[in-house]
Amino acid sequence: MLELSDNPGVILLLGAFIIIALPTIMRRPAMLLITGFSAMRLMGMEVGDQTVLSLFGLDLTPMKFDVLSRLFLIVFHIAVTLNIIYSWGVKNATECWASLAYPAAAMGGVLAGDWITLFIWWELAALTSVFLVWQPRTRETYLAGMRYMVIQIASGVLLLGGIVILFRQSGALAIGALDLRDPSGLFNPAALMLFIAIGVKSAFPLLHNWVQDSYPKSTLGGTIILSVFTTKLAVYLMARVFAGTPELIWIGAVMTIFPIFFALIENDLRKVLSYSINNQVGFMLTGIGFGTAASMNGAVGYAFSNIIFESLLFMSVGAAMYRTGTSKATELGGLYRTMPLTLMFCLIGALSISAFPGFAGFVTKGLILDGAAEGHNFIIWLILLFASAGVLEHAGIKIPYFTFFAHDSGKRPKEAPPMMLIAMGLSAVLSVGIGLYPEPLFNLLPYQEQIADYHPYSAYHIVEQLQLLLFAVLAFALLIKFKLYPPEVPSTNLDFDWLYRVPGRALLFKIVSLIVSLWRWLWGGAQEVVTRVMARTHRTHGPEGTLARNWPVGFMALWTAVVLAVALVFLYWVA
Amino acid sequence: MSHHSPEDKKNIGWADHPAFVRGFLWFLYLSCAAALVAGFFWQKEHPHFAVETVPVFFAGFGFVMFSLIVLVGQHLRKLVGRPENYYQERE
Amino acid sequence: MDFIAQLPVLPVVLPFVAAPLCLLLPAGRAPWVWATLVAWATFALSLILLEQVWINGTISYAMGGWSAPMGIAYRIDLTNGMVLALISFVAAVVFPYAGPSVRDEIAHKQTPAFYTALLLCFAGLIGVTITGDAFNVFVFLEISSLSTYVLVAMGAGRDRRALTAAFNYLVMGTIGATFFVIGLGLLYMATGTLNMIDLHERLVGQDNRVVKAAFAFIVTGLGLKLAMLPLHLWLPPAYSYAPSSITAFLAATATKVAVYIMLRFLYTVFGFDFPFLSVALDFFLILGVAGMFVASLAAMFQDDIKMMLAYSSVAQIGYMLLGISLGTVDGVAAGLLHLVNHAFMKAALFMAVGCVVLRLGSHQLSAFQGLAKRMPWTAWGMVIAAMSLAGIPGTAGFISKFALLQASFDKGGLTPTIAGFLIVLSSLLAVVYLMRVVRVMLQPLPESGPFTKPVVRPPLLMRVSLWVMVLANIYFGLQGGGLIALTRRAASILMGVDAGGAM
Repeated sequence: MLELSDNPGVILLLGAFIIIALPTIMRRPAMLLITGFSAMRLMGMEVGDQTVLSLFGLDLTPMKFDVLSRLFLIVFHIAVTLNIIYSWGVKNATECWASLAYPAAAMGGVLAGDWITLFIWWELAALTSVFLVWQPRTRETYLAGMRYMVIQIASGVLLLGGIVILFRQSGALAIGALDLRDPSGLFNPAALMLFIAIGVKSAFPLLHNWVQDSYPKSTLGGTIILSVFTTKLAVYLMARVFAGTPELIWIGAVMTIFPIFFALIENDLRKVLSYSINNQVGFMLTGIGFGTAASMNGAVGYAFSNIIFESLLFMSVGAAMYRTGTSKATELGGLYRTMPLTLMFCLIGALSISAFPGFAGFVTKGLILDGAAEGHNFIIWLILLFASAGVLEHAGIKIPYFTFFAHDSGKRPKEAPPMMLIAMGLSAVLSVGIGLYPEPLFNLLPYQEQIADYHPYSAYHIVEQLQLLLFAVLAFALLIKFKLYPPEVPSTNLDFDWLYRVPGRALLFKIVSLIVSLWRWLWGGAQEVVTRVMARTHRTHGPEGTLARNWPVGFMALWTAVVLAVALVFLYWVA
Repeated sequence: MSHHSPEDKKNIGWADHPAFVRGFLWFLYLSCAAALVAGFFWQKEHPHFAVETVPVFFAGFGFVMFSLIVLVGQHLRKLVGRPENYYQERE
Repeated sequence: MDFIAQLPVLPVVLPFVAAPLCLLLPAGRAPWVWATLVAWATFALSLILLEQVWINGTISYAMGGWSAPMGIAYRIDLTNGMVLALISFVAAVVFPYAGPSVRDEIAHKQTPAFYTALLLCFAGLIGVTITGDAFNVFVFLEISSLSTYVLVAMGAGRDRRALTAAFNYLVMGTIGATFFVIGLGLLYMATGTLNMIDLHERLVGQDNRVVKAAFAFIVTGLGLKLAMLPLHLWLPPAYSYAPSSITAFLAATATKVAVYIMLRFLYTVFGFDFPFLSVALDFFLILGVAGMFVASLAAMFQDDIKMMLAYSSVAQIGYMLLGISLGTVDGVAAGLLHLVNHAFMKAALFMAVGCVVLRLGSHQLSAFQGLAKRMPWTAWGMVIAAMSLAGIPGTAGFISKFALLQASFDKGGLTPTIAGFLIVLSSLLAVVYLMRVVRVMLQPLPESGPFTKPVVRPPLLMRVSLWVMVLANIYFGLQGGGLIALTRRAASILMGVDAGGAM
């Protein structure tokens, strides 16, 4: 039996409100203490613990702790801790509050055992995270935050719709595996709505733009926090509900490919990393789609390590931005001279995300590819290999190369501040640690029988991975040498969101103005008729002209007559 | 790796030093060669696809695909590239 | 004559007798203290009455000993017992709040008149709720309406537009009342009685044009009073320009009472035997859903916060109508639940706005910039009430929206299911227009413009009253079980035809 005070969501949410009342100097230490306290409570939980509650005649499970939620809760705690250290200098109340409240919502969602509880945390995650998007407080972030919020809440609406239909179908609210299709092959509407709701949050292709639109616009720490929780909460739910759904394989595969090209031509390195989130989540979703023991272990294990090294990359680019004020490739370059430690950490992040042997990405990514191989799905297998080369391009090479090498920007900033270095150092240690000694991570994975037989460091696996990566690096070196690698140019690259940001917006305004003019036309017509009638009445009956001042009253009265007439017509002829 | 005019010679850091660049490239060439050779010695025990048995498959795939991504992908810019303040002007 | 036997009549008589006495009091604090005491006493009486009804079932009381068909009967079942408790609760919280706010907004010598009108309005609303006689409803409705026109017009001290608003409201209210009384006349023609129970008994089986016309007139007249779209145009200006405390009181009571009367006529007087009831319910469904959207969209574009909240009230009435129009016990219960919860949230919101008006002299959005720093208690109270209005879990608003949603989906069929989704969708609109305010409140203080000067915090009494309402929102959000049970029982009694008979 779990107590309410065990729930990291509740602890951190209360903590978020406590810290804003504290003097600014105590905020960050208090945040660390609160997260530490929550982590201690987490260690006290046993797999299988849960809380049941009956509310309005519904059986709810506000907390359910199992192997899968344990893994995500642990890595979420690590991510929060790293971010608190990284953003040590940021004492602004809103950002501190959201940096605890938003992870709290995600953790509450991970622990939720029923759909209603999940929905509550889900919406809370949307509403708390938007403050991080707004935090720079410019018009641009305001608009981006609004777009972000609309999409997040729309996903919540879909989720709620799915929950209601599901409840009507089965009468149960527990979160469990669902089939996307009926035995007859038709889509089950409840499952489909839930699938799309979670899909929005995991940034399915064409539903992905909110990530690139909002994340890079946040503050340094805000971007890192944002990059971790929403998409990974969605991955967790996909693993829980839609494991083995074939549609997910293809969606994931597409997700691994298309961000590669957008990341290639993107100039803002934080936006490159936002595309990288999509690509990485694509790997996880493909693994979940296969649904085999190996690929599920791979997907969630990869989620765990990805959170660490993706944060590391965001942190190193953030450190460069902290010192230079920009994250644009065209304005950075040559920073290796004065920021050697940041460079080193960035390279460790890059090697990890590219899955070089010895680093965190390597030990679990192979499992996802094995899933494709076991299913004899050659095309998917090729796509994933192709995407691995793509990851190397935009996250493994582009990020460190354009920040620290490439053309010399002439900028000679100081090394990153100590607390940032500590946070990056810890992430780097974890990335290498998981790579060299993956057993603790393996012990957390859901399918223990499978992982017991898995040895990532087989000679063949190392050789094939090194061939793939080294020859890709070789290609890069040759492209640079022969000046075939395209230079970075400052630009805005249109993505699918162009549709709703430009023509969609124009269409909306057009429709609104059309409705307005239609309304004026109708209203104006009615007004004229009433004016004429009133004027005639006035000529015959009205001695004083005061009525004229209160035309609006006349129209309200007109409406009353209309409603009465409609009611009478309804009752006499329809009923 | 970029060319410098004489006045910022003093700014050349270790990574821009021609000796380092040369050394790095040689290290890369040798590693590639080693990985290629190793491919002939260690084969997967239970290959799922025929291509996995080709010793140089991964090397070739990595090289070609990476080049393809860069050489083809950059043309996407012509299609979707806009001035930096594109959205600011429209919102 | 023991106390319990006379209990049903006391909540009406007390404010009624107290009102003229108020006029005799010296201007200043005395009328306010008097009105507050009366409100508290009435609240206590209403609670005792509600408890009696909960335990013993429906209570009937013959005025002056004349029995039902001849004399005026008061009849209290759970539904009006609950609405009664709600109105007197709102009065008991808003009247103390009114003191400091009225001192600022109303001329000193007008205070006795102001509180007299307020007590009359209060007595009228209670009378409408408590009576079991259809014509008596009209009388009390007019008492409360007439005093409301006066109260709205008293906002002219701060903004001259209050006069136009009050005049429009007067015209519209009178048209509504006229339609209502015409409907009653037609019913009397058809049945020869005005007692609600008798009316129901004699109307059974009648399906002629007179009855239909009566129904149409009554529905339109009441629709006006409860600001059903498209008869809502009087409401936003009236609420915006009325004195702060009046807006808080009216928003939480006046339209609620009208909704209650609509329910009473639909389910007690006409009842399910009428073949055209289902058509009428469809009519409400359409207007309810339209109200949810049209008014929410209008609210999104208001820069005047009182105007925005007033439009939001019209939208919320749409939710109540939607619940009622489902025609199921669940639906009516959900509508009643939302009626109660909406009173809590709107009272809290308008009270918060009143605090801002008192200190900054404006209810424009720009006055709210940096409010969280300037007036933290007011701002955070407003945030919580706004969360309740948007239907965030943990607040009263969530409970009633959830109940509405459940009722819509349980009804089954295409239209209610779509309506259910529209509830969620329009809640999204509410989130958008409320976030606009919340965001502004959390911004740093303005550096230029008319609202840069520091302000003293609002009087303690106003903040305490505000927070009583805010806490009611949280309390019923966390402990909604009792209220849900109450509304469900009230709805099933209201809809079970034979339970309408006198006990």
